[in-house]
This record gives sequence, structure tokens and C-alpha cells, in this order.
Amino acid sequence: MLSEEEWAKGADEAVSLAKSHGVLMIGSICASTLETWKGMAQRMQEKGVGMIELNLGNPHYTAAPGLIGARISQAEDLLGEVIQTVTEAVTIPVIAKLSPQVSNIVHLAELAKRSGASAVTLSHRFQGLLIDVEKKEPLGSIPFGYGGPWMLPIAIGYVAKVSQEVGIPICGSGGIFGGKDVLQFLMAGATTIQITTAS
Amino acid sequence: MIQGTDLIRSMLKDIGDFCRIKGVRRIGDLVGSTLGKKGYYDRLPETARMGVRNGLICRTCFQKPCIEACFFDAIQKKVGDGSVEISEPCTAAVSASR
Repeated sequence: MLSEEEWAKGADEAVSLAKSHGVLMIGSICASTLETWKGMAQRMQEKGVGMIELNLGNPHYTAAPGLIGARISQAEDLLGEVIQTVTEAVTIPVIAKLSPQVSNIVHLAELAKRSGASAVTLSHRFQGLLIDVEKKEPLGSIPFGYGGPWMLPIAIGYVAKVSQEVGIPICGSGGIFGGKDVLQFLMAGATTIQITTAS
Repeated sequence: MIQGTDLIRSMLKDIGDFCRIKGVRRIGDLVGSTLGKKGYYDRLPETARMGVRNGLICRTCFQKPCIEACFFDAIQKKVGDGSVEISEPCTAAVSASR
């Protein structure tokens, strides 16, 4: 866990590096109370971060207490409350990164837009479980976040649907491992993309 | 060194090659170019939309199973300023309907 000083130093260095290359820095937040969601967003804005992404679908934190992880995307009142709290506390654009494990992604994207989000990221990884049958133990934490190439058609499908029905800028994420994967996200309606596992 | 730099460089090259080969001048022209940009998708009956969503019908001509060439032919259509759009059935679809 980073100390406050270490975080501040790292944030200064990252923002400075991005600015020196003419790149916009987008900060990502994953908090557990409304106060920390709001406070972290304000700190990032103070540091010169250009946009903030709210991690509202983290699959790892479902077992943790508090206003954290995929449970936010899976409860409309929580989703609206977190987004509205942050967007009212900062002036820079706020992006809502949503869990794919929801009943109606279009409905949630509409809710995010109404709550003040400038864009949505579609989507986070899935929660899952794999078991080592020899050791009779779970592989990884419980629940574990699962993504990969198999997720590509699901994520692109979400982007296409939200693009057509909601009209909000979309960052595509999930299953990208090559340039043609990126092209598919763009053609489906995403304006930016994220890559994690492949990198 | 930023992690993934080589991968991102490789992806950008692939995207750049695609745009150059297909005559796409602005990346922005690709955004949303596949589904519904000009209203084709919305005018389809629900059964056809289901077919498109499930990849059973070409996303461009909506008349037959999708083949890559059909889709890319349509992508190459240009409008006045050199940008691309999908405003008409693709060449392959027209041939098929005849």
C-alpha cells in the first residue's frame, strides 16, 4: 500500500511525464466510501489529472466491505450515488467503468450519463472461479477477475449496443490483443480503448 | 520503459496499415462505422437485427452471411471530403440481389 507521500510523488511524476509528451493523463479511482471516492477525485484534479475513471466494476472486491467493486455496477442506487458525488466534486470529465455482469448494460450506461458521467468504459472483467483439482484449492483469489481474448465479442457487443442506444462516448475494453481487435471496437462505436492483460 | 510499448507500437502499425490500404484518412471515420451509422440497422425488422447481432447476416448489406470482402468493400466508399461512410448496400450485396 502506498503512503500518501509516495502517491503524491508518483502522481506528480506521472502527470509531468504525460504533459511532456502532450498526452492526457486519466486517473483511475477505486475507493470504498463516498467520502474517499470524492476525496481521491479531488486530489487527482489538484494534481493536474485531465480526466478521472471511476472503477465501478472491479471483480476482485466483491468480498470486501464498503462501497467498492462490481457490487456498485450491480446496484443502480449505488452507481448513481457514486457517480453523482464525484461529478459534483470535480470539474474535469468523469468516466464510469462498468462491470459486464449486469442485467442491462444499456440501462446502466443511461444511468451513468444521467448521473453526470461524461463517458463510460465497457467493460471490466468478469468474476469467476477456477479450481486446482489436485490441490483441491481455488486458483487465485475469490472471486477472481477473468478476462482475455474470449471476452472480445461480449465487450464489442456491449459497445455497439450502448453506442446506438445511449449516445455517450465509450472507451472499449476487454479482450484486446492486436490491432484488428482495436479496429473492431472503433467500428462498434468506441472512441478510445484500454489494454491491460496483453501489455 | 513503459510496459507494453512494443505491443502498442505494433497495434498502431496494424491500424495504420489498415487505414492506408482501405483509404481511411481519419481514425474517427471508423468510429461507429459498422452498425447503424446511417440508420440501416434501425430500419431492419427485429429478426434481422438479431441476425446481425449474432453475426449471421452481413453488417453492411444485411442480406446474407457476412464475408470479409463484402464488409471491406463498403468501408472503402468515400464521400466528398475523402472520409468514408456506409451509406449504400455494398457491391457484393447489389450483385447478390440482382
